[in-house]
Amino acid sequence: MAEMTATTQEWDPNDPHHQHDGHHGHHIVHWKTLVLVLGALLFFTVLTVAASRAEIWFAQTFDVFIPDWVNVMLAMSIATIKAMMVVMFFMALKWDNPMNTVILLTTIFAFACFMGFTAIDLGNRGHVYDYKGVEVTVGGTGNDVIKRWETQLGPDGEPMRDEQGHVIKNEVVIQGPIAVHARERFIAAVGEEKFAELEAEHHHGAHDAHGAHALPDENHSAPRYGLTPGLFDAHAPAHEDGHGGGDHGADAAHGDAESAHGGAHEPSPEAHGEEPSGGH
Amino acid sequence: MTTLDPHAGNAPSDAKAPGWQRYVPGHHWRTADDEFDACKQGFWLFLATEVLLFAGLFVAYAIFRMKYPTAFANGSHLLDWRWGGLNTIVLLISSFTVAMSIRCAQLNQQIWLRINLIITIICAFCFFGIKFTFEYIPKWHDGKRLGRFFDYPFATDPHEPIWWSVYYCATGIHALHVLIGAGLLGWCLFRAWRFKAYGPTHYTMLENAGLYWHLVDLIWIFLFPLLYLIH
Repeated sequence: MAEMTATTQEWDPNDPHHQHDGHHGHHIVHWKTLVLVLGALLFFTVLTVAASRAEIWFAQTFDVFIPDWVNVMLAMSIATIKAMMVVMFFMALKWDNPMNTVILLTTIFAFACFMGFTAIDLGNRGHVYDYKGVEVTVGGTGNDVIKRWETQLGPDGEPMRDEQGHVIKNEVVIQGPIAVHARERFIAAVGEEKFAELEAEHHHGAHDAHGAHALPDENHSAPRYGLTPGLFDAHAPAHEDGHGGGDHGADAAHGDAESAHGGAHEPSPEAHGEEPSGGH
Repeated sequence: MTTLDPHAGNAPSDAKAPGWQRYVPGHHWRTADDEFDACKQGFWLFLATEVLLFAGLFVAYAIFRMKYPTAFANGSHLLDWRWGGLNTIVLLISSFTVAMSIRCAQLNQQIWLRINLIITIICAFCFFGIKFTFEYIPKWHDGKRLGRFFDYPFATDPHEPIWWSVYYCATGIHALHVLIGAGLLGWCLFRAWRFKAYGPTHYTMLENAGLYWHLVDLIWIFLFPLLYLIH
């Protein structure tokens, strides 16, 4: 590329020999470099999308399940490469005062400390006391939350209105997870049958047509940290129940509570029959 | 020329000269370059605080994902990667045009400087439009909302409201930055148009607004795979 520079001043009586000139003008990035970088960035965007689609395609077409961490690592590596290109060429750190690079790297280091220590802390709480491994904060699901403007649903699932046409709103204290509350409220309004119909429709349409449920649970690229559930229990390790994503919503919270309860006690021979996962 | 302010003499007194030629650096700077470098370094320090602002959101994402993988997998599947991908492309193009506009300023290509800035601002509003029309508004209507506003009856994991909280906060603060960035670049465009304020010897404001815009792009480069692609 052409090494073009723009000099920002000529003769300076305070610095006649340019002894204090930290650099020799500003670097002008060649347009071909910029076009090339844009092309590379677009290419990597396509690549990262393709990688995530390929995982689903392989699973559906060949029954080959790429491990979840591959997807995560690939996506994050590509994002890092893209970020480096933006920082080096678009933000021109490659030709800039190195101190600006130092500022950026220090920031990233601070971010790594922030992330690292938080993960170490919250990821390991369950190792000492099982129940602390369950929730980051009690009530994270919305239990005890006061909902000030809860609408009243009509039989069509839409909010009901009064004579003036205003939506009717009530104040409600949520008991249990807010997601379960939303579901029960909707079922109460539209009825079981309509709900099942709408749910099937909704999951088919919203879940991106490829169907999240086509993949087994283990293949979701969700990292699992910490110990295998039930690893140190006296009985056999808990096995995940097979139905994917489906309806272990309410069950999961229940299961967590149960396993927490189980963990607080010494495993006794009577506990053999129980399922620690609580999935059934 | 006075001994106290040697640079003042370099600027043409002619009022018809373009703004960048008439610009006089602050008298406390030894050279115009010193002023430019210091401004830029100060702006990098500000960008560091911006990165740390988003760091909080990224850590929230990572921790909640670590704790509630199912909720995050479910939530991610309710986003359409096509809108996210389109917005990524829009932002990358706008980042390119900003870099080009700075090059144009350095080479005193005033017309292309304006054209590049206009494309950038159009891209910013495209991003905003796509985000609201196809993502925020329909999702909010479905009850896929943050925290206590959550009202989606088909959730299958009790922690899904947390996913939506992270989603709205991260993309919302990012969208706010898009708006601010568009405002800064709009101001640059106005000054470039009216005064020819940016040219080879002076383009500090444009350079810093450009850096801000690249940061917005940078954040989105990470948000896109984290929210839309990883499942």
